[in-house]
Amino acid sequence: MKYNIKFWFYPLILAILFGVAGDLRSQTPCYTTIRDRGLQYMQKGKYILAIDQFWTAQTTCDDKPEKNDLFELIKKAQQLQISVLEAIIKQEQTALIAADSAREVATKARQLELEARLLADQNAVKAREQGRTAESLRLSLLADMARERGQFSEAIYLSRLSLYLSNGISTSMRAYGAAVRDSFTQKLLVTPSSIDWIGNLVLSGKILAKNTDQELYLLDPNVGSSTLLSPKRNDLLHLVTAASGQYFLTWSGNEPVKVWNAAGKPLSSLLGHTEPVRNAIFSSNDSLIVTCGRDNTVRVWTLDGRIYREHDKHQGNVYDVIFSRDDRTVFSRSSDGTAFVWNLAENQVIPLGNGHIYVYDLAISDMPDNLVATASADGFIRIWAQDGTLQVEKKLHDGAVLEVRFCPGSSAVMARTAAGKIFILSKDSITALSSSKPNKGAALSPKKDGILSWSDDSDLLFWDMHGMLIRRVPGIIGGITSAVFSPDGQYILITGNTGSIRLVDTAGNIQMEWPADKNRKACFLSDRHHILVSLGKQLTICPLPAWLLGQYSNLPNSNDASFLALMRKYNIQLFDEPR
Amino acid sequence: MKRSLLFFVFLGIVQTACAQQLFPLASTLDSLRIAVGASDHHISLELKEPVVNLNHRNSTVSFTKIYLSDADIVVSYIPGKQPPGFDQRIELWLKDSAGTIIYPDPFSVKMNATETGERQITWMDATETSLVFGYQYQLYLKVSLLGPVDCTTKRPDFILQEQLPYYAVGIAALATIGIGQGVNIQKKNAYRHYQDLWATGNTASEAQPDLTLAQKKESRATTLIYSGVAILGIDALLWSIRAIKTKRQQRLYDRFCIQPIGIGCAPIQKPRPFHSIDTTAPTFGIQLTYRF
Repeated sequence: MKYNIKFWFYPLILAILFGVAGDLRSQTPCYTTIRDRGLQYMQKGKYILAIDQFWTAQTTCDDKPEKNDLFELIKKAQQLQISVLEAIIKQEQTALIAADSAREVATKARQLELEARLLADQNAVKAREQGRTAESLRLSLLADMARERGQFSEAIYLSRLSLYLSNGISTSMRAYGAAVRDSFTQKLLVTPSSIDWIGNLVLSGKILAKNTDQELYLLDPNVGSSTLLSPKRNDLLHLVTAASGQYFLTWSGNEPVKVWNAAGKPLSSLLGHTEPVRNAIFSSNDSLIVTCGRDNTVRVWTLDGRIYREHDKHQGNVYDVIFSRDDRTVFSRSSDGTAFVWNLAENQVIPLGNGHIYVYDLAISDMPDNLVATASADGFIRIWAQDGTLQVEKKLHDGAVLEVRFCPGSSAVMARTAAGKIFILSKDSITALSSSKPNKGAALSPKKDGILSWSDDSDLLFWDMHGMLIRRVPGIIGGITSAVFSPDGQYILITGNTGSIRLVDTAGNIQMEWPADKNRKACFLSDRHHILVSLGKQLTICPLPAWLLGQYSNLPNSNDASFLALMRKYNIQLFDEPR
Repeated sequence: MKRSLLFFVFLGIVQTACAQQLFPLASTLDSLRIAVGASDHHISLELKEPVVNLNHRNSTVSFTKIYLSDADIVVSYIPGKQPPGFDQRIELWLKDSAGTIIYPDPFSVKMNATETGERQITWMDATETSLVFGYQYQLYLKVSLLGPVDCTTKRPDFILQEQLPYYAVGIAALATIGIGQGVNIQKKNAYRHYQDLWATGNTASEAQPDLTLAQKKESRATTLIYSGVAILGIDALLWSIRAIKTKRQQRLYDRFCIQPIGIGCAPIQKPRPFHSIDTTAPTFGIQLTYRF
């Protein structure tokens, strides 16, 4: 075995070093040194190290005195350390609070900044809107001025732009309506005397007009032709059109009822009544006609003039007749205070109760139940089934009931009393419209969403079907004579005592108006896009502004030279959104 | 044929000259309170005052009965005597408790005479259009005397300017007669010359032109003189008719139109056109007049 000297050298050195170290250790004052070191650490505030030294001295130093202060020093160092830590915690807490408040301030500042930005945006939008509104008003005024100067195309352009900027301001719509009225109104007919009746033949699109000379004209607005159907006469000419518009009836004084087709050709004369006829109506399929008159009779005719059924159960003039929805029954009322239901198939006439004193009105439901309502002088509204049995009987405690109508698509009825109150009656309840003045009239919306009523006031009131007032609709100063809904229920045509006519939408915005003039009449054309207006001897046709707007919804092309010239001429600002 | 044609032309002229338009001269207005009630379960009219209250002291018409016949208001009356060429007109209307005037619709009022000599004015279908059960009304009846003089214009007169055309025509007619006389003298001269030629032994062919001329002149003179006389006669007749008519109108005007100084008032009304689709309201009110 061979061993190198180096193999022994290092262990030997190590042994010597350990020996020397052990010797040195036993010789140095352990307690004092370590304790001093601990005290130094304490002075420097390094309490953990100081505790460590004191603990080392306690556990390792053999030379420590029996009674020493190491534990006290440890305790003191610990307390100091705790106080240091507490101070740090306190500082951190303060810092945290400061940080929180700083964060809060920052959040608040950010919020304020956001709010300020939002406000600035809103103000900008508002300023733009105000600018648009002001510009819109200016343009509507310019349109009115152009219209008054006779520059109609310019008026249309300007009012159209005004409407574009207005977001539905009524002033702009009125200016546009006036421009449309003056630009697009076409003369259809001039008669020798004032026109006092205008009617539509729905399917054919033709128009009937009657004047105070009792002359009857048939007009075709598409071709522009007019035909005199009935010459001047000294008796009032009555007219009734079929709901389909395929046929119409005329009669006058003691002359018989004449049946015409939409082409203006007389088909037959209904010969038989010995006294003047007071009402006539077509069945729903146009195959039958029922007439009644001052000779106390009710007669049902075929279109070719043959009598189909007749009855003379009434003891007085018969003023009203009405077919049930299925055309199987005819209801009638007379000045003798009776009302009858007449089953045509069985030719059976049954009285609708008795003791009405006077039946002022009859109305038929548009529901399949074929109910009929009677309005009586005794203040009762009675609803009857088709077989004449009484279904509902309610007294309104407000005098005679003059008018009754079934609400569209409902078995509820609206009734107007002689005292001017309007009631909505259902099987279980009676609701009175709480208008402050006596109502002069009422109309039911075809949209089934409400009732329009008017009194001596210049405004109309629009109610929901529960009798709650929804809004006031601007009417006509000087009193309203009638108000009619358009067939689609979108518009209301109001005529005033002064001869003014106003077209408003159901939201109450004025669309068009015609100034006061005597002998003015108006009605909606069956195409739903036009209005017929008569002024004295003239009959004119005018498009609805909203419909016209839909036809030309876009603004003129910005490359359009005349449009650009107009923009420059009037320095028009369109206030478009910034891109 | 020619003569009968001329007679009809003459008759036409005279008729046109004598044709008279009638104007309201005087009127009385009275009213009666009525109510619409029920009797035996039927609608009926209740008179709140006797009908005699309607008979105005100045009126010649005597109202006898007011009632509801079926749906019609019927007013019976005995017409009073009136001068020839005059007529009467009766108008009726209602006023409801709110003060609204209700006029009959056009063509809804008819007049007829009964066998007893009474007359009736009927407001047809009144319960349908105007009267409401349970309500009270004031029924107004206005009786107007219609005559051939218009009190709204100035007093009729046949002034010189209006007479001038007649005089001009008369002068022209006299001139025509004068010319005719002149031509007649020429005729006589020509005929005398013709006779002289015969007397001096001239041949017939030499005398013939003078005879022909005399015949022509005679024809012309006759035409001119007769035309002149006819024109003068018609002119004088028309002038006389006009003058007599004016005189009569002046008398009527003085009787009916010239009233004592004073202030008065009278209701005015303008009927409402038929049917509710119209936009024209009836016009009514009080007209204040100051007479001087």
